[in-house]
Amino acid sequence: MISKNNLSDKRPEEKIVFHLRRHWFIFFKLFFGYILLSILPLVGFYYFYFVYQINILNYAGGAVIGPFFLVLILMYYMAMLLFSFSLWTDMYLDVWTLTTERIISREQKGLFNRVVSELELLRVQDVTVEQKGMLATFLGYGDVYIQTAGEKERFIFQQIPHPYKVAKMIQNLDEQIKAKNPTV
Amino acid sequence: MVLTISIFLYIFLAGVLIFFVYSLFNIYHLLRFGFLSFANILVVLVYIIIAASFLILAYSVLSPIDWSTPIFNFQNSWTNGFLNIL
Repeated sequence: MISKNNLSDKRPEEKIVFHLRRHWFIFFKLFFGYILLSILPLVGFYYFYFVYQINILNYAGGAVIGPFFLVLILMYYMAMLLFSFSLWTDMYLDVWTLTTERIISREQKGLFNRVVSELELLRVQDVTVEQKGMLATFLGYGDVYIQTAGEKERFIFQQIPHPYKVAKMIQNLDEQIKAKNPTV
Repeated sequence: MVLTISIFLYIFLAGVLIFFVYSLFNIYHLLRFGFLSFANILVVLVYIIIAASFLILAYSVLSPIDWSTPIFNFQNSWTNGFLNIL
């Protein structure tokens, strides 16, 4: 496990300012989809039972159809459980760390693809915030784009909470570090 | 040749194997790359408890079933007679 207050390659005077993850609503939105899919078979059962007075379990009680139906339902719920956990893993392992000297991005892209990259605050040229949509505006999440001096593609903090505050902090730290290193 | 409903059980067991392996990969990733925090450890423990409970429940509902019940009995089917004619 990684320590929250320490970096493996921490520099002598470097301090961690904060760690960022996606807004809780992004996980909740996708997780809610799995919850809906999980209750779908139960809704179907009750719909047939109360609207058409058909008990599906009577049809599924046969010596062949019964076990087939049972295995199908168990595999469905097993998949829902696994997908929900994979979703959590994917979201939880996406972390952006801001230190007094650099920005470190750790992104989990699926189960077998992890990208770790870092950007020196000295190289930051422009910080842009984008809040798109009604929910993002009301719940206060958005994307922060960090443009660098080089040809390297811009850094993106995706769907993070308080994007304006984060952008302001990056700009402040950037100004501080540039004041300390005026020759760069 | 008799094809029994145990084929459903084998399909389910293959699913359990995939579930187990992928769960282990997820747990490994969370423990290897996640933060040393209470929330991370709690989520892993809660998942292990839920997954174990689910597998115990699956075992308890699947174990009373007679998995030797035939789906098709090829010796008695028309296909066998048809093949004999050929």
